Amino acid sequence: MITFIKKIFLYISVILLISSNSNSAENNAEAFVLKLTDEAKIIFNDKSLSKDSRLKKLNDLSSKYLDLDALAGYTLGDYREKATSSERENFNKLFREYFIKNMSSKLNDFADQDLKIIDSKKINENNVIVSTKIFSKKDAQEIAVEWRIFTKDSKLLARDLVVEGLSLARTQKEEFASIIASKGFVGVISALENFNKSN
Amino acid sequence: MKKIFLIVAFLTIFNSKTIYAAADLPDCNEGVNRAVFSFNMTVDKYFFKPIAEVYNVLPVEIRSGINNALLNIDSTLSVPNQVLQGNFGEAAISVSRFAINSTVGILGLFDPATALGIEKTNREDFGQTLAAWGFDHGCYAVIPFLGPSSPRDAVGRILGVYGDYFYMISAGDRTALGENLGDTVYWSTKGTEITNFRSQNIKSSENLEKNSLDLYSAYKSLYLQRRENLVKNIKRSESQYGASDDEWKKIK
Repeated sequence: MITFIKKIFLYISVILLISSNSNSAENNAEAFVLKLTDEAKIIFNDKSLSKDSRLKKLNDLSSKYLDLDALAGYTLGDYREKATSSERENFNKLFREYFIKNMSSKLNDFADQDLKIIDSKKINENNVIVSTKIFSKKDAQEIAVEWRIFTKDSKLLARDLVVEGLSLARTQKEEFASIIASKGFVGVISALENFNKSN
Repeated sequence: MKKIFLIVAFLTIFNSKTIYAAADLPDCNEGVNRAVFSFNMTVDKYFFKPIAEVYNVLPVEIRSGINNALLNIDSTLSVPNQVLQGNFGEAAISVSRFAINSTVGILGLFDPATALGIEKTNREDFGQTLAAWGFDHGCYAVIPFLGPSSPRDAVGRILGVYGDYFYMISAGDRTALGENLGDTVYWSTKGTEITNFRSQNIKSSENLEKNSLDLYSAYKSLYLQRRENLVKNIKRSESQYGASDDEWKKIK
């Protein structure tokens, strides 16, 4: 009987341990999103920053919080396996610059909006989805944004944003796929170079 | 009868899996679609967008009321589709929401139903119903003035005109409480609906235009994702985590 009780106790402890670890992954991801958005807001609300200093700060922020190499790989889709290592290296570099410039203009309008965590869910070993809502008082709009947070070597990094059910990573991937289909990989490189030069 | 036959024949042809082997939405007429997309963007730039910008000058409270009223009218389209998809519970909720919001909520300008705990149901249209019945998208198509679509959704739109209660009692010849609202009410409501939709997307479309490397593909992707979410009844706040998890698993 004592052995049986001991076993039950052991099972309950293991279940509690697993569930507390899972909750802690979700709590950590939520705290991560709040920290990331707070730091981003400081950059976007600092009107004294020049364009270059803002881009530099965003670059630092991205290195700290975003898994841009993974995102770059994802957006390449099927071509990811075909690209040579030097092609990938060049693409990752251009993609990083493109992403930061893109983010700088895209998120500028959302700097004065409030973010609220709704909930979070661990969907597998390394990924937690944090659901948030962004409120705009000016437009009386509420935007649902989900953050895919990935754990890489015990470090949390954001991989994708899903705005109102629309994935930024998937949209980008399909844009690149279309360019690759019509102009080849060289077309993507050329489009990224042109964008980076003119922005 | 002829119309139904034509629609079924159209769907059968465009539903052929042998033609559309690709897993996603194939772009069989990309050249034509790109040309129509360009035309639509020009129309938007000189017509729809300026109107939406003027509309946005209205106070938030007024725009919010108009948005509520339009959503209320739009819910009349959801009811037959919820029934056709077998979601009778949702259809009953939509009807009760419509009844409360149209009366207590003063023609839908306010949303007392939500305040009473009767939450919004999933929006359903005939394109979604055809998808629920197993019809494939067919080829991606950009329709002049209307934008991204597919044969399935285009047929859904046509069916939507004739199966919409609001259409029947305004542009159609049916009556509600002994009254027909008339064509003017129908077309001005549709015009306001387009303006309201466009006004809510001014910033995001400007950002997309500025930052996309291939704007046409970006719009196609967004359309496809949106329709997928609607067909799977994934609420905006509960997406399918954006992209398939299998694709992310390939990334180290």
